[in-house]
Amino acid sequence: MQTELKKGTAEVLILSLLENRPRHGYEIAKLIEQRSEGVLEFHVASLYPMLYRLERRGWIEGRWLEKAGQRRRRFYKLTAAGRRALPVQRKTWREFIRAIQRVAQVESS
Amino acid sequence: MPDWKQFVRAHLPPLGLSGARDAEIVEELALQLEQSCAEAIVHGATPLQAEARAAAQIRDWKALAAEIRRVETTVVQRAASQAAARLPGPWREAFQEENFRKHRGGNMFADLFQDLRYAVRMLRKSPGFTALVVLTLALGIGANATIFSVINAVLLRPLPYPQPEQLVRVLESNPGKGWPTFSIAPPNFLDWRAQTHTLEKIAAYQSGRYTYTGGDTPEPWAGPMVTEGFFELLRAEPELGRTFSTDEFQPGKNHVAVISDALWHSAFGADRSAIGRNVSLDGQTYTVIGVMGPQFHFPSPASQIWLPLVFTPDEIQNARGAHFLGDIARLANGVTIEQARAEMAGIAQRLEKQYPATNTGWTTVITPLSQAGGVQQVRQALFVLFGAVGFVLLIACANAANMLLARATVRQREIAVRLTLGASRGRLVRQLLTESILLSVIGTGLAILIALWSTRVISTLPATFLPRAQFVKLDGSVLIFSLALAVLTGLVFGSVPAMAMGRGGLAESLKEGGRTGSGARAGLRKILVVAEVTLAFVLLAGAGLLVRSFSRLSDVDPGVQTAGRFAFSLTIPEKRYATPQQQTEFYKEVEQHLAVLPGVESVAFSTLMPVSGGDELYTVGTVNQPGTEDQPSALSYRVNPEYMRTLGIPLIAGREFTEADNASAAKVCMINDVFARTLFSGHNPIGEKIHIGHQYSIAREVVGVVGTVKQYGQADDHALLEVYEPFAQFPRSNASFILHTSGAVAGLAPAVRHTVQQVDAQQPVIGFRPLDEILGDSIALPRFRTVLLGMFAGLAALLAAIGLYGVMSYTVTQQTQEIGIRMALGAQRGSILRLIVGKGMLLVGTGIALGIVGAVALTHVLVSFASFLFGVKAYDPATLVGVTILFVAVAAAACWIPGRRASRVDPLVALRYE
Repeated sequence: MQTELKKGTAEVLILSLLENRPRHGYEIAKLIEQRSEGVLEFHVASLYPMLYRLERRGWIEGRWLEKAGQRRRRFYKLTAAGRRALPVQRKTWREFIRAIQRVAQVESS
Repeated sequence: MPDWKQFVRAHLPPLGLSGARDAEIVEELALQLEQSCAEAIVHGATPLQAEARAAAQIRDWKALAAEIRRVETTVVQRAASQAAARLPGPWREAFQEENFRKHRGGNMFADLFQDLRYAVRMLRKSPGFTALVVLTLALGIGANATIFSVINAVLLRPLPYPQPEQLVRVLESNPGKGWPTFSIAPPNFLDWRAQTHTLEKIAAYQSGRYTYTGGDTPEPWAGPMVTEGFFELLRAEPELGRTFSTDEFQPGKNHVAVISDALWHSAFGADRSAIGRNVSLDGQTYTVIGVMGPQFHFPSPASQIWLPLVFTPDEIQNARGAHFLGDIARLANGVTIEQARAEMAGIAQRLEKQYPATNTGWTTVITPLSQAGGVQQVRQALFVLFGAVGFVLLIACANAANMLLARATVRQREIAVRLTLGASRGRLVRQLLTESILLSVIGTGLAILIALWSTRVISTLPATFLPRAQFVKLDGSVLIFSLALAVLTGLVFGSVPAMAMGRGGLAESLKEGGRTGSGARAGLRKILVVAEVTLAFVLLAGAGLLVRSFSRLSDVDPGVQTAGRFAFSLTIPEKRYATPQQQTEFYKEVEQHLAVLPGVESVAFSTLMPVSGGDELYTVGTVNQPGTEDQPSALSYRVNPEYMRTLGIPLIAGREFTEADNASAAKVCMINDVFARTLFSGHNPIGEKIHIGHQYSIAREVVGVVGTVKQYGQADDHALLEVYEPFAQFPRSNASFILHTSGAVAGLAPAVRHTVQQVDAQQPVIGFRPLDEILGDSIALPRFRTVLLGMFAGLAALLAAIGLYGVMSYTVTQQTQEIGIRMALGAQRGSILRLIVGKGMLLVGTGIALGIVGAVALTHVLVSFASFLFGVKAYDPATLVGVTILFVAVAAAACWIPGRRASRVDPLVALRYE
């Protein structure tokens, strides 16, 4: 359960982060950490397999990009399929969170 | 700062992915670690601390690798990649190949190059297989290229004259007598020329042989005498000098000659001053006025010299029954050949009414020049041969497909691995097709060498064998044809295994461990073998029919004995031998000299070479019988008294000629039995008198009746009237000698030459040949097609046997385990052998049964072609039985060898066999 949950969370987080612009792996890890204010921390050991899985599924697409004077990095962007999948994922999460709230009587702040 | 890539590589266990993907992942992970490290330094950590922190991001490398592996592959792929890791070389290679392809992305040309490289590697790995397929295809394609180049030269290539489609040949024809085409009588030709409007020009020619005496030794020259307009209507320009002018067709002004390029080179050393030089032909002087181009060969490749043809007053007025001219005509602009046919038929009808005695039953036939000269006859033979080589190629394709199929089974695991790795079927089919097309292209290279050799052989065949044979060569169109054939062939035989691959189940083949072929594939192979046997059987049956037909044909009694007979011709100049007396004396003297040569038993001479196909026909009639409207013609021979005995022509009634039947004695003649039946139906012709067209006023007494000689060869079944006269009573300047010798006589030819030149030092001996060779010329075409079809059929049978052998030995290999089990359970070697041979023979039996049906159907085609089969029916049981026995024997051998190997299998080895 724990891992499944984690996996599911991670997917929707990654897709959301890529919604507006392509990012590379390191940036994604950093952003998740920053935006969750340190609550969510991704191990590198799970981030990258996750990216590969999403890529395989066809939701994101990685591409090597070179900027002047920099080492090339692999940037991931949302594919059309990923863009279609994101709202569905979000809805599933919203419903899941609501259910938790109802059951656990947790007030949203 | 450490090299993070090296760091990752050192820690990350192998992923089992393609090299490119592996490197990508390593690079990305290294980048992550490097950046964390850099950031830690920015935040104030010491390099060592930073490195440690970065390295600590990934603790469980094994788990990471496992996770990536799981993400990067599917369930089946994982199984495949695990299997692949344990696979031997080529499969692991294929596995890596596929991964490589997938990540590189599709580029058509790069793919093609990749496919080619891969194909070359696969083919080099099994040289035996490659050699067998290439050889099979080379034979199939080579045979096709050869026949195509013959068809190209003989049937498709345009004639080397401007507007060749307008050129036609007008010949006389007497369907009532069974003569579809016949030479033209001079008065008829002159009437045609005067009356036609549909023909722009028409010119006649008469073949001629002359003795040239200007060089070191007397030389025979050959070439036609032609009427006015001959060169003009062919639109042939001389390369040097000019052709004949109108007044050079006047008697007395006609001593001018146009020579061929070849003769210009051989006799004049290509000297331009040859124009205007005088040459002595048969003692007469001719002035060379022109040299034709090297392409000009009309009417035959042997034409060396052209002289003006001037008819004698006698020929113009009285020779309507004397048919000896050939001709050539050009249709007027805008006139179709049908219009010309209609007009000429009308002219012939008018002549029939005007001259009923000579022209009744005679009409005209007009053939395009491109189809004249035996081309029409050869056309059918060539189409049959083309069909035959098509069969051979189909069999070669089936064979190659079969071998590829057998190998595809061996490669099943490789293909399954690649399919599970996500290679599309289309991609794999393309790979297989690349391999097969590569095979057929290599085969074609070899085939072109075969064709190069065979066309060279064919181009040296004499025109009696194959008209226009000298034009047969390997040119661009043949090469294009061969290459197109190569690609087509590759597609055909490659698509069979490719399709079979498309059907085979994946998981199934992985489970099977690549040992046995799927049922469908084995079935396909059997179908291919049956098809091969069927095709080869049909071909063999067809060839068998031709062989039998040909042997019947050569068994036909030509009416003369040819064994031990040698023939040659002489032409003496009429200037030096002007009188009949002188001519007779010359020939008698040569006869006497030849008769005493060692080994010579008797000597004959005649104005007409027997069984040569040459002819001289005259109208004949009896004195006492009322003259019929339709006067028959007879072949005329003027011979010496020894003639019948020398040639073994049987005397049926009366007597032979003697030396007493000389110029001053009463005119006598002998006739053949057909003559006797036709003109003297029922009563004894001996003592009757007849007229012969060359001197119609003289009545000649029939003194003997002899057997019929097949002057036009053994294939000719029109029984012709023949009449013999003593040479001395109507001599001529040219005649043929026939020597009857006691077997092979060494040095006979030079001895004959020497003897002749003892009598007259300026006499060349023309064409010294055995008589059976001359007779053989008449059946050269049947021999040509029989030999070729026989060769192709033999090739087909050989290929089918190889195919059968391949499938049987493959089956045995596949069944080694089963055989082992059977033997372990106590099966005898004999029963194993029976099992294997039985299986093979079942295929052969099916093929033969279908082949018999096909053979009966297809050989009807042979029958529908005129004159193809001689004395044999399409469903000749003897041929079918013979071919069946031959086939069963060959097939049994092809099955027996693998069968024997199977029966020697060591059960212990067999059980372990995979």
